[in-house]
Amino acid sequence: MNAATDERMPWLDTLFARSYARHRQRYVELWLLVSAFGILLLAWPSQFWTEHPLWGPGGGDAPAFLVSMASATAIVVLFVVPWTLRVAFRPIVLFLRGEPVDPTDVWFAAVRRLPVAGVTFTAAFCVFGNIPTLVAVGRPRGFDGLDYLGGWLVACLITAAAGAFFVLAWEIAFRPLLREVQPLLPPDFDGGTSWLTLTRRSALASASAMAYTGAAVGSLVAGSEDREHVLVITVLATIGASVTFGGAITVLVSHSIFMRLSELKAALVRIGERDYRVRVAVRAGDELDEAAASLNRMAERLEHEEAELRASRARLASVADAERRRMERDLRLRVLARLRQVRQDVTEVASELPDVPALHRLCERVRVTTADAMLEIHRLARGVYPAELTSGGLEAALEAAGQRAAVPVSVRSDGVGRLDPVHESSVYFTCNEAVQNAAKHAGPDACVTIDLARDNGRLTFVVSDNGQGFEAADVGLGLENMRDRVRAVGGDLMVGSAPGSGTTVRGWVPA
Amino acid sequence: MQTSAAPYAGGSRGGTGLLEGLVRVAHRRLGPWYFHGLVVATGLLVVTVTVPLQNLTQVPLWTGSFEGWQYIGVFMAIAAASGPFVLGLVVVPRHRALLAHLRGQEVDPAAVWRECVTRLPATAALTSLAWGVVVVGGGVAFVGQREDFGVLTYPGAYAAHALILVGVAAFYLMVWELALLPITREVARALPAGFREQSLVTGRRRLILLNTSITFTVGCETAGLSVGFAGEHRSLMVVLVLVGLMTTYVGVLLALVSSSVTRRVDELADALNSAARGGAPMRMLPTSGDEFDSVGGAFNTMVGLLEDHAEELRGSRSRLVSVADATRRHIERDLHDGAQQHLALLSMQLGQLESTCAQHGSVAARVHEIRAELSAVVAEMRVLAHGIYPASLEAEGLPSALRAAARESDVVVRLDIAVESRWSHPVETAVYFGCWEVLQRARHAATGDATLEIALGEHDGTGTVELCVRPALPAEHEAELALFLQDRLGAVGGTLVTRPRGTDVVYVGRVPVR
Repeated sequence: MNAATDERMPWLDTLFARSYARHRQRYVELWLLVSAFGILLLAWPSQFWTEHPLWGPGGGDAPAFLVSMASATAIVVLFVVPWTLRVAFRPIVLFLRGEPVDPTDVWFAAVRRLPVAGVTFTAAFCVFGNIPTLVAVGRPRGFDGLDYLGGWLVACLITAAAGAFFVLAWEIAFRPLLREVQPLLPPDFDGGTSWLTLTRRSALASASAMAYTGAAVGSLVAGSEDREHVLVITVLATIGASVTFGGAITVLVSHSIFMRLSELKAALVRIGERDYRVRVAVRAGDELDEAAASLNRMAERLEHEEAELRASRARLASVADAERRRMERDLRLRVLARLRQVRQDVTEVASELPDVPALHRLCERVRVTTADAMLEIHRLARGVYPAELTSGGLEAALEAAGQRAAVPVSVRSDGVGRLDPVHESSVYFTCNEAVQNAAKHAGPDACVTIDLARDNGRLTFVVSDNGQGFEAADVGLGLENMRDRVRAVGGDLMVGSAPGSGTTVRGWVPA
Repeated sequence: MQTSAAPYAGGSRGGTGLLEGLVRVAHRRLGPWYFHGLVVATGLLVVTVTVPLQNLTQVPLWTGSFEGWQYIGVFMAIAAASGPFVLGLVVVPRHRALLAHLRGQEVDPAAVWRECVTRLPATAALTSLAWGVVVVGGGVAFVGQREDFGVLTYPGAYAAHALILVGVAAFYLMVWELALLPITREVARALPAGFREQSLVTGRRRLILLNTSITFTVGCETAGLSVGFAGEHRSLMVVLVLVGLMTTYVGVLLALVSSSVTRRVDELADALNSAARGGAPMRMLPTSGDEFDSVGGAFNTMVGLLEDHAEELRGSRSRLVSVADATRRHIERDLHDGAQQHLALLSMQLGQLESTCAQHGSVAARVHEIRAELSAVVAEMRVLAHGIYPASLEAEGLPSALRAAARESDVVVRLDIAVESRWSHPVETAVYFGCWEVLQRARHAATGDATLEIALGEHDGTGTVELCVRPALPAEHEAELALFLQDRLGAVGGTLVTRPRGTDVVYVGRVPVR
C-alpha cells in the first residue's frame, strides 16, 4: 500500500498520473515523443539563436541552422529514441506492456539508469550536435581555435542545463510507474545509494539555471555595442531566462524533493490513525530514503507491538475463562459429587436408625443442611460458569439465565450453533451483565429481549430493555468492563440509551 | 503526554557544516550580544565584500569597459555611511523580542520564534528595499551624472543592480536563518505542543527564491563581465566568467540547501529511527514554518495518538485482569461465607448425631465414616478456595499467601523473601498467580520430586520475582509459562525475561510496586 495514492496531487503529478492511466501501454513512447519534439522544436533552435550574437557578425546563418537542425534530428532519430526504447528503458517498456519482467530491473531502469541516460544524451548532443553547428557557423566567420573552443563550451553549458531539465522531468514522469513497481520489489531489496542526492539534485538544478541564464545573457549582450541596449537586454534577458528556464527547473527539483516529503507526511497521518499497513516507497537512494526506511520499520514495529498487546489481552481473557471453567468443574466434581455421596450415606443411615425421634430429628436436620450446602455450591458453580454453556451452548445458557433473572427475559435466535468457548463465554457474561444492569436500573415493569444472530463471520448480540434508560454520558465502569471483555476476543460493543427509551447493548464477536 | 520531557530529534547529530560550527561558536562566545554581532558582521561583510564585488561586475555596463574603479569606492562609501542606519532602523526594531530573549528576559517563546522564522523574510525584504532606495539609488544617480546616462540608462542600470540585490538579500536571508537556528531550537522547546505556524517562505518557495535570485545575480553579473571582456575570444571569456560565478555560488548554495533541507531530513530520519527502535518517543521541533515543520507536526501528532492508543490498550488489558481477579476474590468469599459455613454447620450436626447415637454401635460407626468423608470434603474445599483466591493475600500480603500455598502443595517450595513492605494489590495478585501457575505446572508436569524456588526482592520501587523449577519443565510448558507470566506481569506494567542457570531456566519478572 502506498501512502501517496490517495493524496491530493499537484498538477504536475496529476498530468503524469493521468497520461499514465490512459496511455499505459505506450507511456514511455508518448513522453519520448513529447521530449523529442521539445528538443527539436524548442530547445535546440532556441539554443542556436541564443548563441548567435556571441559568434559575432557573419554570413551563412541559414545553412548553419539547417546543419544544426539536421544533426540534432539525426541524434534524436538514430540514437536517443532507439537506444531509450531498446536498451535503457527496455524493462520499463516491457513491464508497461504487461510482459513478464523482473521488477528490480524496472526499478533500476527508472531510478538509476535515468541520470546515466541523461548524461549520455547530453554528451551526444555536445559532440554530434554542437560540433557540426560550431563548424558550420565558424567557417564563414573565420573562427580560430580559441573561438571554436569558447563557442563550443557556451553551447555545451546550455545543452547540459537542458539535459538536467529533462532528467528531472522524467524522474517525475516515472513516479506513477514506481508506485506500481514498489510493492513488487523483493523485501530485502537494496537500491544502493544514488549519486543524485537531494542536495546534489538541488545544486544541479541551480547550476543549470545559472548556466543557462548566464550563457544566454552573456551571449545576448554581445550583440549590441550600445550601452542602453546592453542594459535593457541584460535586465530583460536575465528576468526572462530566470523565470522561464530557471523557474521550470526549480519547480521540477522542488517538486521532486517535497513530493516525497508529503508522502512521508501522509504516511505519518495514516499511521497516527492506526493504519499500520502504510509503507512509503524507498527508492531514490538519497537522504530521504533513510527516513522512509525508518518509517517503514516503525510501522512494522507498531503493527507488531499492537498485535502483541492484543494477543496478550486475548490470552489473558482466555486464561481467565479457562480458570472459571476449571473452578466450576472442580466445584462440581471434587465437592458436589462427594457431597452427593454424603447425602446418600445420610439417607441410608436414616433408614437404619433405631426408632428414636430425637435421632430422626437430628438426621433430618443433617439432611436439610446437606441439601442446603449442595444447593449453595450448585448456585455458586453456576455463577462461576454455567453448565448449560458447556453442554447446550449460548441460547440454552441465556434461556436458563433469563429464567433466573429478576426481570422477564426473552431470547430470540435463529440458531447460532456453537462457537469457541472463549467467545461463547464472552457473549454470555456480557449479556448476563446487561440483563442484571437492566434488572437494577430499568425500572419495575421493564422486560428484556436478547437477540442473537450469526452471519458474515460474526455473532451479533443485542440486549435491549423497554425501561427508563439513562443519559448516554453515564456509561459507567460496568459497561467499560463489558467492552474490554468483548474487545479482548476481537469484537466490539456499543451502548445506546436515552432517558425514556430504554437501553440497548449491541455487540459482536468473531464467529 | 509530557512534551517537555521528550528528547528532540536532530540533537544527536549536531551541525556538520562549517557554517553551522561557526554559528555555534559565535552564539556561545557572544551570548547576549549575539544578535548585535550578527548585525555588525553582516554590515561589514556587505560593505567590504558584497558591494565591491557587485559593483565590479556592473562597472563595464556603465562605462563600457573596466574603467571607473572609483565608482566602487563611491558605492562603498554610501554603503558604509547608510548601512548602520538601514540595519539599525529596520532590522533591530523588528526583532526586539529576540534581543530581550538573548538578554535573558522573560519573553513569550512564540514571539521569539516568529521573529526568528516567519518575520525574517519580511525583514530581509524591507532591508533590501531600504538598501535599494538609499545605496543603489544614490550610487546609480551619482554614476549616471558622471557618465551622462540617458533616459533608458538610468532605469536599466538601476534594475540590473536591483536584480543582483535580490540575490544578495536571499543569500543573507538564508545565512541569517542558519545563524538564528540555535535560538529557534532553544525557544521551540518552550512552545506549546500544538504550535504550528506557516512561514511565507516554505521549502518549495525557498528553493524557487534561491534559484531565481541566484540566476538574477548570475545573469546581470555575466552581462557586465561579458561587456567588460568584449573583444577577442569573447565566447571563451563568457564561459570562464560563467564557470567562475557558478562554482562560487554552487558551493554557497550547497551549504545553504544542506542546512535547510538535509538537516531537516536528518532530523526526521532520527525521529523516525527512534520510533522504529521503540526508544523514548522523540519530538520534532518546529524551526522553519515550512513543509518540514508540517511533517514534524504530523510526526508529533502521530506519536501522541499512538501513545494514547497504546495506553488505552494496556488499560483495557489491566482492567480485564483486575476484573478477573476481583471475580476470583468474590467467588472465594462466596465459598467462604456460604458453602463453607454450611459445611461447618453440617459437620457440627453430624458430630451431634454421632454423639447422640453413640450407644447404637453400627449406626455410630456409619456416622463417623460420614464425618470423616465430610472433613475430606471440607479440606478439599479449603484447597479449592485457596486456589481460587487465597484469603491471606489481601489480609496479610504476598509472602504469607505464598507460604500458605507452599504448605498446601506437594511440591517442595523454597521461598526467599527479601521484601519488607506491601506491594500494591494488583501487583501482589499478579505475582501470586504467576507463582501459583508455576506451582501447578511443577505439580502436574515435573517428573519425580520437583522443587520450586521463589525469590522476591525490591529495589528502587521495582519488585523482582525470580522463579526456577528443578528439574526443568518440559519445553512446551516452559514456553506457555513464559507467555503466561509475561501477560500477567505485563498487565500491571511489568516485564519478564528468561535466563538460563545451568540446565534450568529462571524466570525473572520485574514489576513496578508502588
